[in-house]
Amino acid sequence: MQVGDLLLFRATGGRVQSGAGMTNLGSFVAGTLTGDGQVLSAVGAPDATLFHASEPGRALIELFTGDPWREPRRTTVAVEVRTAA
Amino acid sequence: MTEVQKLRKALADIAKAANAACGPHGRGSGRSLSSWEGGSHDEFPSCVPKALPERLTIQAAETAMRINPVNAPAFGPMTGAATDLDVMNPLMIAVMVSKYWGPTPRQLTVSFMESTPPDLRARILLHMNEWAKSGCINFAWTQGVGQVRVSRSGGGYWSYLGTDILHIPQDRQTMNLQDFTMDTPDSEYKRVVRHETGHTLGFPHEHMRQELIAKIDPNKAYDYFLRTQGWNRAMVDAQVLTPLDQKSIFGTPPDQTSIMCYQLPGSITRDGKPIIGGTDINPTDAGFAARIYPKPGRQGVAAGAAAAANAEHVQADDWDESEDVPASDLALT
Repeated sequence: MQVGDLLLFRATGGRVQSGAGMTNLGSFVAGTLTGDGQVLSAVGAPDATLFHASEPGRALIELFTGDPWREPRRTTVAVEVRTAA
Repeated sequence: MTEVQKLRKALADIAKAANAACGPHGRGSGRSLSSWEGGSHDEFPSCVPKALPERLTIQAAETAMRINPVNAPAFGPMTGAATDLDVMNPLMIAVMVSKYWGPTPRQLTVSFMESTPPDLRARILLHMNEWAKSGCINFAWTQGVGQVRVSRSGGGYWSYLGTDILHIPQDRQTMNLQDFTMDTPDSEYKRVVRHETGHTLGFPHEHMRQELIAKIDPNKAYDYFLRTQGWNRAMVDAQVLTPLDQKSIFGTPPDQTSIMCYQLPGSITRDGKPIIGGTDINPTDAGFAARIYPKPGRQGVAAGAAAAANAEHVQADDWDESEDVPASDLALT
């Protein structure tokens, strides 16, 4: 990835396990903006976890998927962030 | 004339015709309707609805809600979390919007966002329609774009709430059932598909009832979900710790075994006991669905519509306050 990139995972949660370069922006629930300006939110666990490539470095990201109330699955992703060309 | 005004006028006309068919003492005279054709409605006293004195209106509303939850004001669920977000929490915005489909029998069409084998479609619909055994809303597959759009893509399990699904763009799902296949155990169809379908019917999370949230230790919850999900405090508040507005909740007692209640571990509760969570529609769930979505022949909400229709003709009544019926004497079941 390059500095400034956003990385979105379809996951119920996540965090930076170790390393540098990535910032966890949080987990988000599906939502929709209606024509009259309302935001409708789905009911349930988050379905997206967002990270920002903030500086050059290497990081391990831990992602949580599946049912968060019952044995969520964990996946580790290695990310390398490079300076934007 | 709006639809509501048309309904009120129609019901008022029916009431007038019924009163006109009665004799001067309010009872049927036994003559055919045609014998009254030459008479004037003004000759016969008509039924005049009465209103309670103002001091009893709140208590009366609470009574009406206890007897039949559909008498409750049409509030949506509300959370108080995430006030630091630039975008207002959608559930706070939605607090005045009803998610309830109404008591009229209804069929909601269902389509699938991805190519889904017929046997899998049928199995998912079978479990969605478990609610239709007790309630008057059923689900039917459509080859076109359904009102309920199911995706089995990543992102876990979730659904938009009740009538909100009508506002979701048609190229987006209204319900997500990640990775459901024919190999998924039937227990998961019962636990997840029936739960998410409950949301589509307008039912919020049971574990967000004040009485159940009170059992949770917030600090334990924050630590647990940070460790197991990476959630920050705002997300834990939104998912677990913020109670539903009491006025938004239909009136069954909090039920840990409701299909709408998540399973929460004892490690986050004050007394160490888990919140059991529901794994299937239980008799209380089914009974509640039957009450607010009554099957034909059990439609009891028309009385409310008739009352609304006659609101313009209501006369206020009053009596000495000492004659008010104490709440403890109300025979509510």
